[in-house]
Formats: sequence, C-alpha cells, structure tokens
Amino acid sequence: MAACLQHTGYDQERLLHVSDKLPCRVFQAGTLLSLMGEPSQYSYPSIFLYGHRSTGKSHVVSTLLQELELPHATVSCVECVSAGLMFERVLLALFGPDTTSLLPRSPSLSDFVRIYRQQCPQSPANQTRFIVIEKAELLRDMDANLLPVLLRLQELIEDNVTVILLSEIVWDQFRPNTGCFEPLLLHFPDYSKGDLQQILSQDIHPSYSAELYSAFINILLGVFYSVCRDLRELRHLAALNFSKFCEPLKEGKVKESDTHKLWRNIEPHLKKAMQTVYLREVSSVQWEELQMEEKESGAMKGLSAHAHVELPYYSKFLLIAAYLASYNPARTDRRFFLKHHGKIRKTNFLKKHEKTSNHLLGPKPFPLDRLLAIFYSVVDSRVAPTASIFSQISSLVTLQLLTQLGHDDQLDAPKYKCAVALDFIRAISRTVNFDIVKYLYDFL
Amino acid sequence: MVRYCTRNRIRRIYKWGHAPISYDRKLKTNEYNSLHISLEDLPRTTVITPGQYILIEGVDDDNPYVAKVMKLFESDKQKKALVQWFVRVCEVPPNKMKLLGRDPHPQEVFYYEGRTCDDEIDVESILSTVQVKYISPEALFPEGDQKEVLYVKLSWNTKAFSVVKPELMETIAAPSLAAPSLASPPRHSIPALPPSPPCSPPVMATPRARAPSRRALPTPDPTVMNRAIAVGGGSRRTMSTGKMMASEAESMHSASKLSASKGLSAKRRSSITRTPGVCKKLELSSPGKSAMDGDDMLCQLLDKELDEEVLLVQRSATSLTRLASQPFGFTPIRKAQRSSSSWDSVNLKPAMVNLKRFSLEMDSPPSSTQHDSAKLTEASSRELCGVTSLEEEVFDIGLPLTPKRRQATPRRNCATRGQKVATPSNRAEKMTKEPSLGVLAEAENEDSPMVPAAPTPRSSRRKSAKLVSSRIRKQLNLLNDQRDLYSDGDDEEEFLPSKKDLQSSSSEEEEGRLDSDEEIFGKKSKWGAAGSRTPRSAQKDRSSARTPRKTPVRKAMPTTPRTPRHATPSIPSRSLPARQPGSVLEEARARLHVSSVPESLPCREQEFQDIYNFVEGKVMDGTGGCMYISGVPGTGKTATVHEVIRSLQQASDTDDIPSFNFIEINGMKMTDPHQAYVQILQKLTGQKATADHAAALLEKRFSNPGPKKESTVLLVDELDLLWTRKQNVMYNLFDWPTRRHGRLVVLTIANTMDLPERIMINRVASRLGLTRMSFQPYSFKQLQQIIMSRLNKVKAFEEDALQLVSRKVAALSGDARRCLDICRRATEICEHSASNPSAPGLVGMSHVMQALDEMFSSAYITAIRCASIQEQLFLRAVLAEFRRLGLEEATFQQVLVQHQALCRVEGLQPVSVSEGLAVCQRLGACRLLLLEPSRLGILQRVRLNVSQDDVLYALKAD
Amino acid sequence: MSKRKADDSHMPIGESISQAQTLLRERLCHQRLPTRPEGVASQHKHLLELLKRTAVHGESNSVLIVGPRGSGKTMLLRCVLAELLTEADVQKTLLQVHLNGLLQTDDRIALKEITRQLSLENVVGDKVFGSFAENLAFLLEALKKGDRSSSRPVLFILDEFDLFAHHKNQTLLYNLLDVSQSAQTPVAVVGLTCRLDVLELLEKRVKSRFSHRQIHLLSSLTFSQYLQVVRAQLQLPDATFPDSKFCHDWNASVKALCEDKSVEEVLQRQFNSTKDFRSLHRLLMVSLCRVSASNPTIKPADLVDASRLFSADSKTNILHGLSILELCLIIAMKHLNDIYDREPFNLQMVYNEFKKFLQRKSHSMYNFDQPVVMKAFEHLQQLEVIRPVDVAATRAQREYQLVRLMLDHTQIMEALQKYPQCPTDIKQWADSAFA
Repeated sequence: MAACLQHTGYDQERLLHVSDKLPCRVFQAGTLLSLMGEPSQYSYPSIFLYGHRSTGKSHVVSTLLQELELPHATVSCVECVSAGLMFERVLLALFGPDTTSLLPRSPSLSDFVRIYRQQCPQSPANQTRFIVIEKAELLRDMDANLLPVLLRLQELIEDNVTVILLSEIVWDQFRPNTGCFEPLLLHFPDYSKGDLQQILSQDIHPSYSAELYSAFINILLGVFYSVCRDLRELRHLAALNFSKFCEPLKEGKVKESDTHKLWRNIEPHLKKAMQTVYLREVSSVQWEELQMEEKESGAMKGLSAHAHVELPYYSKFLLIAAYLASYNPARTDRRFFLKHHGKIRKTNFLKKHEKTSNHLLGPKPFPLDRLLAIFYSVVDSRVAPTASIFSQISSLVTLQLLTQLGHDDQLDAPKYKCAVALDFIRAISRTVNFDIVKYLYDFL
Repeated sequence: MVRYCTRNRIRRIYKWGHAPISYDRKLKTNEYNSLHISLEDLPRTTVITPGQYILIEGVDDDNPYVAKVMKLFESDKQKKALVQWFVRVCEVPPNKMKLLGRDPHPQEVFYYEGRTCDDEIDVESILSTVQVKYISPEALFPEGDQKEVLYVKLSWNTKAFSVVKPELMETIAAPSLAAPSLASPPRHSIPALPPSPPCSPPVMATPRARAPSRRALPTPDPTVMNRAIAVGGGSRRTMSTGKMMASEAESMHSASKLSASKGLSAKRRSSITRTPGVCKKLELSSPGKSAMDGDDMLCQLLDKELDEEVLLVQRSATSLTRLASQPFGFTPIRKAQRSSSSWDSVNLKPAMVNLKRFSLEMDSPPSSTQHDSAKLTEASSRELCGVTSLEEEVFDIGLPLTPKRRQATPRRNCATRGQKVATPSNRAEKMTKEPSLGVLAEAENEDSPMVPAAPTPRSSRRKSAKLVSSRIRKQLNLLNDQRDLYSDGDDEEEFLPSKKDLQSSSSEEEEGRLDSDEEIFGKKSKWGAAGSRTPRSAQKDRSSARTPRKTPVRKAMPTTPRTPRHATPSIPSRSLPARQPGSVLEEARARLHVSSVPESLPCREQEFQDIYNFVEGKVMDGTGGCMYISGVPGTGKTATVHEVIRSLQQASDTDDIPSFNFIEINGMKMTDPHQAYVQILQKLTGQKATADHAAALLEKRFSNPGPKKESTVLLVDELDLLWTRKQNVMYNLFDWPTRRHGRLVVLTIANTMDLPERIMINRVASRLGLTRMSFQPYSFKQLQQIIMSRLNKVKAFEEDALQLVSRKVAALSGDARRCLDICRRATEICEHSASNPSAPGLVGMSHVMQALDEMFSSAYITAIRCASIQEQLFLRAVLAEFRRLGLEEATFQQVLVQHQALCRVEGLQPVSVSEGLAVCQRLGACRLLLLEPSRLGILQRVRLNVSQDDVLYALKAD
Repeated sequence: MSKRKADDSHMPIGESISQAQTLLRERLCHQRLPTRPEGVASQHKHLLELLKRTAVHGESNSVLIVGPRGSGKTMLLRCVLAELLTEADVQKTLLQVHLNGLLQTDDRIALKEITRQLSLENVVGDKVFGSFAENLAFLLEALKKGDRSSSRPVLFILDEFDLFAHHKNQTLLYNLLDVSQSAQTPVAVVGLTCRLDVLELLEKRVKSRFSHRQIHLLSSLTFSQYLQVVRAQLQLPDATFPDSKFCHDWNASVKALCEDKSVEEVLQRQFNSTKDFRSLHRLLMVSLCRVSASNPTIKPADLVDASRLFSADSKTNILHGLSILELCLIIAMKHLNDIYDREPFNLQMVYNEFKKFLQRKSHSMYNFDQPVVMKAFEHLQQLEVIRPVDVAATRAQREYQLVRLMLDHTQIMEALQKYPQCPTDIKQWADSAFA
C-alpha cells in the first residue's frame, strides 16, 4: 500500500490525516478520491461499492467526505422504513432543516426531485453533492422506482450530485427488470490476515506491551480466522478474552516471553468461546461471569440451550414417539414395536441401497394415530387416551417442538412433524432412561 | 335548505282564502283569488294571490323555481295554479349562457317565453312568496344584498335572450309592489282592479321606479315622456295581457301538438305564412315580444296614420284572441285535441269571421258556457291587471253581452281596415270614438324609437347624449345605428329561427340587434373586468356561495374553497399565429390530420340515419331510451354521433323538433366511474357537487315531474370504464330513461360488441335494452373514399398508392385513424425524398411502402441485427439450449454454459458470469428476452419474447 | 516523455490537467451535448421536422423514440430541442412538459406535475389545488379551449413511456393522445422507451389514438467507427482549450492510445459485449480518473486495468473474502449439485458431505460442530450465495431448509485459484469429481 493519498484538488496534510485514519484502505480510498475528482468537477452519477461486512466501506466513504468537508448525506436503508424518511434525511443533510417542511405528508419521488431542484440553486452548487446509501440491498424491497431514480439522479435533478451505494450483495442481483443506468462498480476486498493483525494490534491494553498483545492477537486469529473474518467480531472476541489471557501473567506464573505456556492456557478457553459466545448462545456478560465462577468450580455445566427443557412425563414420551414417527419409515414400525412380529429377513428389511438417511432429509410428516400407536408401545405403563394426552400434544405444538402440517381446520386426521434435533431428543430420552438410538432405523 | 323550508321538513297546509269567485261547469274548475298557506303549528299564514311571485319546489332545493301566479283554481279536488315562469340563471343550460355575453347576477331571473313547459302547477308545490323587481336592461343591479329580491332584465325563450318588455313587468310589478306576503283580500283587490292609464298608482309608480334608466335616454322634457310612458305602458298592458293569455293557450296547444308528427306542424307553419293578416294574428298569439317588435317595425316603416290603424287592428285582435282563447286556455290535456283544432280554426280565419263567430256566441241566450266564459274573462281580466278601459266598462255594468257586441263592431271595421291597409279617412271617426287610443297612438310613435333605444349599447347612447340636437335627428341616428347593428347582429346569430314572413323576420332582426347589443355589452364588460370570468366559473362560485354549510359540497371537496376563484382553464395563446400550410403536400397533410373535421362523414350514412331516427323520435315524443353502439376503435362511432347531434340541433333551431340539450361524458376522461354524476350535473345545470350528492340531485331531476323539462340527450363514451362492482352507475344511467318524466336519451359507445353480456348483470343489461348498433371496420373501398373525401380535389397522391394504403389497413385493422396517419407519414417521406423540395410531386408507391413498414414492421429483427456480438451469441445460446432441452424455457446457468461454449467456438474470450448476466439483462430490458427478477441470479429462467424463427432469420442474415 | 513536454508549458501542469479533467468529465457524465449525435442523422431529421411542424404549423403529433438503454434517446431529443429553440419565435411559443415514468408514478402525480409545468391558473406557488378529478377536468378543459392556430403548442415528453402504460386505465395516455388526434390545443407527445414491445402495452383504444410513428435508435456502428467515437470522446478542443501546448500533447497521446494494440483489444472486447456509449463512458471515466500531475496522460495500462475491473466477476470477488469453513461448505454444495444434479439440498446434507471429506482426507482442517457450521451457512445465505427454495417455509428446522447454490462451477474454481493460501487438500477435494 503506497501509504498516502494524493490529489490536486485537496491540500496535502489533510489527505495525510485522512490516510492514517484509514489503515489498509488507502488504495481504495485513493480510487474513490480520484473518481470524486475535484469538488467542482462532475463525478460519475452513481457508484456502487460492494464488499464483505466490515471491510470499511462506509468507514472509508464517510471519513473522506467528513474530513474533506464535502456536502453529503448518509442514509442507511435499515433506518428508512419508508422512502419518505429517506428523502427527508437527504434534504435535511444537504439543505438544512427548513426544507424538510416542504415535503408533503407522504412524499412521492416527484415531490423529492421537485423540492431538490428548488433548493439546489440556493446553496452553492459548485461542489459535488454526495448521497451515500448504506445497506443498499434493501432498496430492492422498497419502491420499485427508487433504485433506478437514485442511479440517474444526476440527470433527473440536473445538479452535480453523485449517489454512492454500499452493499454486501453483488450488483448482478440488483438490476431492475427493465434495466437502468449502470453504476460504476467498485469492489472492497476483505482484509488479509496481515491486515487484520495490524488493525487488531492497534488497540493494545495500556498496561501490557505491544508484543504481548500482538502475540495474543496471533493466537486468537489462529483459532478464529478459519471460521470468521469479520473484523468487528474478532475485535469483540479479543476484548473479551484478553483478561483471561493475562491471568497467568498477573499471577506471575509465567513470563511474557514464553508464549507457549500462554498459548496452552488460552487455547481451550478460546475453543469454548467459539462454541458459546461466538454463537451468541451466551451473552458476553454471561461469558465474563462464567470466566469468574469458573475459577471456583472448574466443572462448567452444559451451556447449550436445549440441555435444560422441562417437560411433563408423558409429553417426553410423546415427543420421543413423534421423533421416531418422523424419522423411521412407517413400514418398519412392525419390527420395532410389535412384540412378536413374524419372520422378517434382515436383508430385505435393511435396504441399504437407499442412500440418504432420514437424518439428512429431515423429518417426515406422520398422522396422529401413528403417533399414538408408537406412544402406547413405547410408554411402559398403561395410559388411557384421555383429553390430557391430546392437550399435551397441542402444547408441544405451541412449544414448537412439534409442528402441525396443513391447516388447523382438518380436525379428523392432523399431521405432525417433529421439530427437534437428535441430541436434544437424546437428552430427553436419557431423562426417562429410554435408549432411543436402538429404535432409530438410521442407526441400525 | 336553510332559507327555503322544503316540504319534507315542514308540512304546509294549503287552503283557499275565500269561496270560489267563479265556477266553470265545463271544465269543472272553481276559481279562487287567494290561497292561504300556513305552516302547521305556526300562526302566521302566507297568502298567495294572483299576480304575486312565488317560489315553486323544484329539483334543486337551494334555488327553487320562480314564477308568477296568474290564476288560482281547483279542478276535481286538486288545487292548481296557473303561472308565468321565470328562469333562474342556473336553469339556463350553461352552453346557452354564453349568449348572455356577460356574467349573470346571482339573483337574476329571466322572463320565460319558452313553450316547452306547462304552466299549470300543483299548489302543493308552492314554497313561499318572493319579491321580483324589474330592472331596465341598461341599469346596473342594485348593490343591496337582500337575498329575497330577484331581478328581471331579460326574457329567455330557450334560444335567445331578449329584452323583456317593461310593461309586461309593470303589470307584474304592480301587485308585487303592492302586495306583501301577508295580504288581505280588499287590499290586494286594488292592484287587481285594472286602473285607467293616467291615474293608476302602480303605473305612476313605475316610471319613478324606472326613472334612472329613463334619465339616461336623450329626452329633453320629462313631462311628455312620463305621459308617453304612462299611456304607452297602459296601452301595452292590454296587449301584453292578451299575449299572455294567448301564450298560455299556445303552450297548451303546442303541448298537445308535440306528439303529432312533424308533418302536421309543418302544415301549420305553411298555413301561418299564407296571408300577412293571418301572420299578424298568429304571431300575436305567439309569445309576446315578436308582436311588439312587429309594430315597432311598423312604426318605423309606415307613416303615422297607417301605424295607428294597424295598432288598432292588432289591439282589437289581441283582446279578441284573448277572449277566444280564454275557455281553451284552461282545458285540461285530455281536451287538448279538440281545443287545439278549434283554436286552429280561430287562427286560420281572418279576424272578421273570428269576430262574427264570437259575437254570435254573445248574442245567443246566455248558455252556461258563454256565461262561464264571460265570467272567466272577467275574472281573468281582473286578476290580470292589464285591461282595456272598454272592458272595465263592461265589468262596471253587470251585464256582459250588449257592450261586448257594441264595441265589437268598431273593432270589426278597424280590423277590416287593418286587413286591407287602411285609408286615412276613417282616422277622425276612430279618433272621436276612442280618444284614449288616439293619445295612445301618438304615444306609440313617440316612444317607438325608445323601446329599441333602450337596449342600444352605452357607446351609441353616450355619443348621442353628448350632441345636443333636435329630437328627430336623434331618432334618426338612433335608427341608423340600430340598422347596422342588427345587420351585423343577425348574421352572427345563426341559432335564431328563420321565418319568412315580415313580422317574424323583423322580430328576428330586432332580436339580432338586441343580441348583438348584448354581445358588445358583454365584450365591453369583459374588457372592463381584469380577471374575466367565464360564466362557468362565475356559476361555480355563485353556487358554492349559495349552498348552505350543511350540504356535502363543502365537505367532500375541502380544497375548493382554497382554489383561486378566477381560475379559468386555458392555454396561453401564441404571439404570432401558426403558419398556414403552403405547399400542396402540407395542404394535404393538414386535411389528412385526424383532427380536421370533414364536412360530412362518408361511408356511415346508414348508421347516421338509424341513430338520427332513434334520437329524433325520442325527442319528438318527449320519452327516453337507450342505445348501445359498438365497434372497434377508429370506425367513427363518436364522430357519427356528434354529426347526428349537430344536425338535430340545427333541426331544433328551426323548430322542426323541440329543443333539447346535449351532454357528453367519456369514461376515460374521468378519474372514477362515480365522477360521471358530477360531470353530468355540471354540464346540465352548472352546479358543482360531490358524486353522491350529484347522484341524488340527478335522481330527483329525472324521476319527479319537474314542470320545466327539455329532453336531454346523453352520450356516454367508453362505457366499459363506468363499470363498478355493484354497477350502480350503469344502472342509473340506463334506469333514468325509463322514468316517466325522465325525458332522457342515452347513447352509449364501447368497443366490444358483447359488452352487455359480458360485464353487465341482468338488471342493468335489461335496462340497456336491445337497441344496438355495431360499426363494422371500414372496408378498403370505404377507407379509400374517406381519404378522397378528405383530400377533396387536392391532388397529392397517386391512385394506386392510396389503394395500397387502404387495402393494407383494411386487412390489418380497418382503423381510419391508422389510414390517415400512414398517408400523412407518406407525404412527409415524399417531401424529404424529393429531389428539389420546392416541387416534390405526388406521393407514390415507394413512399407509401416505406411509411407502411415504418409503422407496421416490428423492430425485433433489426434490433437483433444491431445487437452486439455477445448479445447475438447469447441469443444463439438460448436457441441451442432450448433445442437441447426441448422446452421453451431454460435457466440462465444452462444458457451460460452454451454461451461460453459458443464463445470458444467463435474464438472469443469466454464471458464471466457477471458479464453474461449483464448481456442477458440488457436483452431482457428491451424485451427480446423475458426474465425472472434479477435477484435470482443465475437461477433465473429465460424465455424468448420473439419467435425462434425470427431470431434464426435475423442471425442468419449477417 | 509527454510529461516532460507538459513541464515546460506555460501553465502549471496540475492546472491544465484539472481543466482537461473538468471538461472531459462533463462530457462523460452526459452534461455537455455534442453538436450533433453520431450516426443518427435520419432520426434526428425526422424528429426535428416533426417537432417543428408542431411548433410552427400547430399540427398535433405523437411519436415514440425506441432504443436500448444508453443508445442516446434522451441525447437525441435534447439535441433536437436545442436546435429547435434556436429559432426565436419557437422559443417564445413552445411550451414544454417533461414527465418521467420513474418519478410520476401515477396519473394523480403526473397531472399535478403537468398543471404545474404549464402553470395553469389553479397553481399557486408550486401548489396545485383541487382534487384529482378536478385537476383532470381542468386540464382537459384548458386543452379543449385552445385551437390549432391561436394557442401555444405544448410539447409533452414522457420519459420511460412504458411505465405510463401501467397507470390505471391509461387515463393520462388516452387523454394526451386523444388531444393529439382532435382539433384542440396543438400538442406533440414524445415518448421515450427501451422496450421494443411497448405498443403491446397500450390498450387498443389508446393504441388507435397513437399515430404509430416510432423512431428506432439501433446503432449499427462498425468497430472502426466505434474507435473514432472513442477518440472523439477523449479529444480536447484545440480552439477553446486555454493551454494549447498541453492540449496538443494530450490529443497526440490520445491518438497514440487509440492505436495501441492492447487498448484496441480492450475496446474490441468492450465493443463485442455492448455497443452502447454509456458503458464506454464508464470505461473511459475510470481510466481518466487515473490521470494526475504524476501521470499526465491516459496510459494503455490504465484502460486495461479499467476493463479488467469491469470484466471481473463480482461473485468471485465476494468468494475471495469468505472464511475457509464457508469455502469448504461451498465446495460441498458443489459436489451435492454434481451428485443430485442441481436438486436443492439442506444444511444436514452439506454438513454430512463436509464430514465425509474430513474423515476421508484432511490434515489441514479439523471438525467444527454443527452450530458453528450453521452460522457459516447463514452467512452464505445472507450474502445471497445460496438461496432458500421457498422463502416462506420458516416452520421447518433451519438445518432441513432446502436451498440452492447460486454459483456457477467456473466461479467456484476461479475463486479457489485466487484464494489466499488455500490448503492443497481442499483444492484437490474441489477438483475431485467423485460422486
């Protein structure tokens, strides 16, 4: 990276200031800057920046625009539930608060363009105005005309304006069906490992040396890089786990120099982090608490959500029955649940040539009576088919452990699907000490 | 709704003031001279007496009808009243409103002289009394905003406005001045008693009332004037009353006649034009002013003696006709035939016979009928306050017969003299006999120039006022400028009836003059007022001003109050006029433009005749009906209907058929089916209202027997656009004509032949009925004929060129518009391709060919040929993939594989997926391909929008 | 070398460069009109004649300008108008109404806009009074009042004409075209569209009122002409440009550029993919932006880079940024696509495939448990690299939701080539075509 921007339009030290605000993005910033040209010059009507999440798209753009004090409006489509809001924000940012009052109640595109045209002669028009739109992929779900209009806004408004669209999705999946003005495509590549290292190493803990921190970052990346390259995520993880990393140092067990020990200390911890906090199964607060209490009681209980679901006794059996019903072929029920089924030769029973097991294809729907039949055979004590059973079924449906197919109107023969994963049902069956795997066709 | 308490709000009780003052056995009508209207649980009662002005409940609650009571009577238990109508501004059809030439005053009413409405109304429909003031045409409306007072300036006879004769109004004005709403019999009998000209308070009052206006006139000595006016007024009264009664009779008669065929009426007219004498008498019996104009003209043409004679003749004739008409005047409709026939006899015989018959009647021992008739005359003459002194005598002496005969005799010989233009000799005798008439006569020729002088434009009057000279000179130049005024007047008034005989033509001239005056008047006022408002806009805000708060008009249109009042829809006019076509080709092009309306529509004679007969029939016998016209676009449906209406209107102007008003709405020119009501209402009455309010008003108008009814012809274009889920708009449109009093003829136009079957529910379709007509697409011969008729004589095309065009179009659509457009385009091509632009020569085959394939050939093939190489390759790939799959559809991914393969074959660098998508979506954008939404990426399915053969052909060619 | 020349010119190099940039940018952003659009002389003539007849003779007309995107429809129209308005009286008389189907999305808005631009009398400031119905009636009344000779002609320009055809009942089109076919205010209705099938969108009564004049802009340039255009686009005007020396150098360099072999094949490629000028402008714009004081001319390399920027596959760019796990999942999906030819699949299958790979031969990768994989999977879905078959089916468990891969094999392979330090065994796995 030739680590400095230069452009005749702007003074040098300001550009320097900008460029050290944009580590590892100087090149992209340079291209962008050259496209913008000097403030008075026309810039291309619409520019489409695409690249992964947190690759510094909006950061670069906003830094440039702010530092160089160019008139601009930044709108994120997530915040704009209606096009009207977007217009309002744009006008507000470009022409000040009084103009937004000119907009009618639910402004149409034509209103927006009209008012913009009225306004632009008043404020100095010798500078290019920029409209930055983040999360542009959401434009596709808004008013169908919005995107084409934004793309050729310069022509429609007859003013020196440039629209910059930021998105993660590629342009190919934006084009309206009747075509539109093709924007200038610009790709923001992801940060390389080196870049990440460099950027992450910038926020060092004051009380520790830079080397230590970068070593920590190195370890962190070694664990997470293959899974996630999101800068924000990594930064978050680093912040969470650095204290743990430093524990042995605080206790004075090891010196900073010997990284191997530190690594052995932190590595399993990071693995655990990947299974939990990375998946948001525990919040970062919980995570820190865990780190605290873990010091007292080493045993860490199951964190995953499905470990602790409390169900009534029969409901558990019903759920098991449902699972069996939806993952076993109906023809195998005789073999599994009849006391003395006749002679069934293993060969034609286990047709192994059917390749994909049910656990790949997912649960199959089953009728209610099959569920009940399996239920009566799996539950040991005799149960009367009372209302309570049925109410429990429906409550399972409301818990979304079962899903009812079709509409609710077909009361005579409702069909269900089991909506729980294998290890969940395992956990359940363990509580009623029922070995479910024996009864599953896929695992024979 | 606030000011006029309508009957559905408060019940009124109607009872006669007194015992019947007379009884007609034959007609079984009791006659009364006062009617007491009392609101229940309210002490005060309103007394309606003949000669008073009343408001009569009509379709529009906000401005009910205005009329003057002529007579109150009761026939078989029904309280009836005989009225003289006045027309409100809003009742005059807006398109006629422009004849007025100026903005109408909100409280202005017009003396109604049309014949199309019966003037016998049900007493129950009387709302209350109202005050009406007469204002001479040149006077300004008083500023005072007293809502109750209405002003009369002009009279309206459904065709033109004319100055209402002051004395008509005087006779009317007298009671209205004297009679407040609470009147007691003795007091109101005073105006009822006909006073002798010089000393009657109302008459003395009237000149004072009209003093300012008269001041304006160039008359140096007021005394003479006053006398003149007084006497003249007095004398006029006699005639006017006569005319009034006559007009009643006439209207009865015409009403009965309406059903009869044109032939009959034609015969009547011919009989009218037979002898001048008859003409005179007839037009005396025809609505008033023409008679006046008649003798005005005479005053100017003949010398004094003569015109005295004639005046006498006419006057006598008047009274007679009145007497004669009396009994028939009140015959109910069922007797109409008889009465009219006998009335004809009265018409057609010269005065003497008429007189003889009459006197005979008088001689014979007083049979009940004559007695009654006498009574009637007496009564009528009493409540009509204009009466000749002679009749007063009669009434003073109780016995009717002898004096009648006595003064009948002088009349007779005057009349005879009247017939064969009289010799001066008998003047003295007549003078001695009736001094009043003598005075009257000179009064006549004193103010004869003045009556026409009244409406002359300010300019001339001011001018004449400036120069102080002798009266004669003034009269002279007044006469002059009247002449030239009416000369230019009547050539621009084509809507006037064209009668051949002297009086009517003179009357026409008179009218012409008046109207031309009005024109100037109007123009002047327009120039005067800065923001010149069209009558419509004026109308609009007038109504909005008058509508009380609670009417929905306000609510539904919140913006209307904010709309600038003076907004007139108009495109600014250009500084220098458009250039006229120069060369032959330009000429031809101008003629060939669809907009240029041809003199006549060729090739649609049959349809024209059918529609004409249909509408004419309905209008003739004032019934209603529907007709459904279908045909593909550009086959001249709307044009034909317009043609029909045009000729019908001409017919109605020449009184061949009763006048009607024509309204056109177009389904495409409204934003929502229910707007139809609004538009109809606006075009009918000029009111603005919301959809449902308008619907209510129209419903009321068409369903209940409003006294004034012209039949309405409604053209509904693009009918299918009026479809709503409940179809209530269509239902109403087709239901109104079926109402008894609807008098609505609905012509509907749409494209599809089976529209009624397809979109209409049964009750709508059945109301539409089976009168259908379908316009066939033009055959090539017809198209050719159309072009020829348009081009007439302009030689711009070669024969076979025209034939080619018409054959081609006839083969494709039979759409005349297409045909004309192609010809126009051909002329342009010819112009461009011409070697020397000055003399391009005729449009030949080649040009037409070029024009044809410009317009008809699809651009797909050329588009494909002009496409870039990659695009063409992609199309090839699509074809290849279709062939492989044997389907008409493939995903982009599949096509892409083929595409890249083709690229390698062509030795090009294979495209990346993005480029491929770009190419594909470019083709999709110009619809060579049909694509799914682009967010499907490479999974989106691709179809061809062109036939595979076309693509192959296009790709092979290069 | 041209740099040195530029140095000893009288104007500072930066100055003249920014001058040149300003000028060329305006040209490339379609701000400056060419004196005459290239290659469309006949269409130009036709349109000019047409509008002139309306403006001068007050003859009503209607015409459609049809051509693919970026083929210069608007340009043509603007040129014609500019030429037309040079005549003083036309300038005085002609009224213009510009509408755009993208902005005036329904007749209500369009009517208000028309009224505003004609500044009829029910407009105050920029407020149009009255309801929709009133506005329509008012406008029609106004147009009806006028007549051929006396009232000013109105020019209606409907950009994106096809979108107007989607308005309810096509009321606006019907009325405008009806006016153009009847003896009222003279109007010219000019529609611009890129759809060749636009006439099929019109209702037949509307269609009948349209005089079927269509001006097609289908450029049939040869490559040599194309090169000429490119050169013309980059040339600086000798006469007007302040620094004549720099201008001369620049033009010379442009000439050199256009003759360069690599540039020529870049342009050839561009020309092959599309002929429209917009995309050409895009290309030139990017390479123009590279010009600065340090390199004062457009070098062939700049152009080549620019074209590479555009021809690059964007999906591949995205793939480049994926984590190794996500990449593995994609490869697994590729295999699934091969096995069950392009049938949809779910996470379980993918995970299964992935585990098979791990068991069979992997030394670089170790197993991730399912939630982690699930997260990666969802990220892919968020990037629209994979797409659920039916978006509505939320009731099914996420791991069993059926999805499709929205990548072509070529893209995956290309991505693998570019992928930074991609483990070899993964490459092999991707290449291996076992089922």
